[in-house]
Amino acid sequence: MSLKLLHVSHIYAKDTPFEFAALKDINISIDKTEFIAIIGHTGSGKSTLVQHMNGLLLPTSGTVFIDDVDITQNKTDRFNARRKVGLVFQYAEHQLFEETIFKDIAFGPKNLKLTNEEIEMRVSEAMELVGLNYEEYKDRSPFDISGGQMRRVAIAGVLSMKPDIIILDEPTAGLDPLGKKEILNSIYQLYKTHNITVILVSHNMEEVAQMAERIIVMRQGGIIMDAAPAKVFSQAEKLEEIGLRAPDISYLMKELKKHGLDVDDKIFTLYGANEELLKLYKRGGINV
Amino acid sequence: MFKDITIGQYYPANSPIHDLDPRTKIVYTFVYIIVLFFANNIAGYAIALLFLALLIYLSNIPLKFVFKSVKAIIIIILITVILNVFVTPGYILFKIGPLKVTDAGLINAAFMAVRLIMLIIGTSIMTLTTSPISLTDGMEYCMRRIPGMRAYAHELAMMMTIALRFIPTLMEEADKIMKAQKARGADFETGGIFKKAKSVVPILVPLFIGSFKRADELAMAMEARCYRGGEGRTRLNELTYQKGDTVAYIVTAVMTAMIIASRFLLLLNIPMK
Repeated sequence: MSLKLLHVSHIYAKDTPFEFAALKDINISIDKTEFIAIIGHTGSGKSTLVQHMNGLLLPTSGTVFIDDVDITQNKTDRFNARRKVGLVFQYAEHQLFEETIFKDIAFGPKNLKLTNEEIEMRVSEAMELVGLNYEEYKDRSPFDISGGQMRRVAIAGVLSMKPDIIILDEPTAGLDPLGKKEILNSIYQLYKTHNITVILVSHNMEEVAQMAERIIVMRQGGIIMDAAPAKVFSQAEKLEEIGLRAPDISYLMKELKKHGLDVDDKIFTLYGANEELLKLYKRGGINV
Repeated sequence: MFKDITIGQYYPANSPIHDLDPRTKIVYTFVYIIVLFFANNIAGYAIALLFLALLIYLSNIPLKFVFKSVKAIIIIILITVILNVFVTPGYILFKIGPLKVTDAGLINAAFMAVRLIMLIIGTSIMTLTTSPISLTDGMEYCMRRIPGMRAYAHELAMMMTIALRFIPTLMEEADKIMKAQKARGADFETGGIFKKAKSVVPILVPLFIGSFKRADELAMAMEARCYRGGEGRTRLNELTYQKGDTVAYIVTAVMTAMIIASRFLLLLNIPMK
């Protein structure tokens, strides 16, 4: 499984007064199962970028390779690419249209012309993956359930295609805290147990810090950082410059260090901070 | 696929035409349409063309954009031309099977085509130089002058404003839903007409649900700000005529007079046709 973007640029409304360069010379290479986060300010080109990864948008210049096939050349390759690279749009629940949840999730597998048994298997598997009981929900209307559940149905609709890479464009936007947590847990489980590469587009640094192994930071249509979280978050000033920030924990650790506590200020997850403070406590470095 | 629609698309630029009051442009366009039908010989069309050229020149809009709107109606023009060539009685020049081509037919067809093209270009200059919002503003003012329309002017204008405002939103939404379904392997391009018709269901259902929701929310938001129609409603920016508008009205009058006068050139024994 590999995904490669080479010198990809994209210009919207070319040759009109509304011309806008959304992507400028993007190079990304993904060749193993990874949990990748794409972060960036609104309008930095994140959504445009992910639409290039399964051929929904074609680059104005540059090429996109999926498993060494150049998908910018013909339609059949793009169709195959969409089976391999699943894309869950922002507010994905807006795409639901069928009478029952089963039928809606089956839309993708049906387009792949699978047998009925295979479709049924995939739908039930996808529903369990996102935490919806198959028997309980399959015959209900996708419009009678809560917003968080609708979003999970939409994600299941992409998972049922059994992609090797799944891209989620802000999957938690507009959900309540519980809904957010449930979706993130499902996504992480998916990554851990099913060997799927996950690409998460997000605004939320806490989410990203907890799960990602690689972070791509975008600014004005270009990539300005592509590194492990520890490295990205150690440059908090650079993130702040472009309207982002490091996770809160990272600021807390820095503050503690400034006040004379002997802690590692490179820590950026709640779990890591917890461990570090416990260690310090055991060493007697904190007087409670 | 939704990016090719130009009729009614605003082209932002700095020009004396952009700065005109929308009412002036509406009146000018209205008069222009009527006057075009008064022109009945080359002189009349030449005068109209002269004014049109002046308008395009002043508007600072690239010719490419001006002619884009003609592309949209090229089929209508072709049909008109073909009908005119074959149906008009007159001196028969030659025959293609049962179809006769007459001299009057050819002349008529040419005039018709020119008239249609000038109509489209003239009206699209108005929409290219006026933002949709100020256009509906202008329409509201104009409608108030029409007897019996006063009571509905505001409601109609508000409906138009809202409709115009949501066209791009809906197109974006349709585009997004289409992509989302494509990402799930939907195919909108191949297959027969029946299959194609069936394939729009996954776009239309979410689009309708979204529009109803949006309309509902908008109505609620307007009521929450005490909107209750046009009665007693004041405006933030009243439309006022500037110097340029006076000039524009004079030009409109001159054009009308010249084109009407051109009809009588024949009576003065000046052969024009």
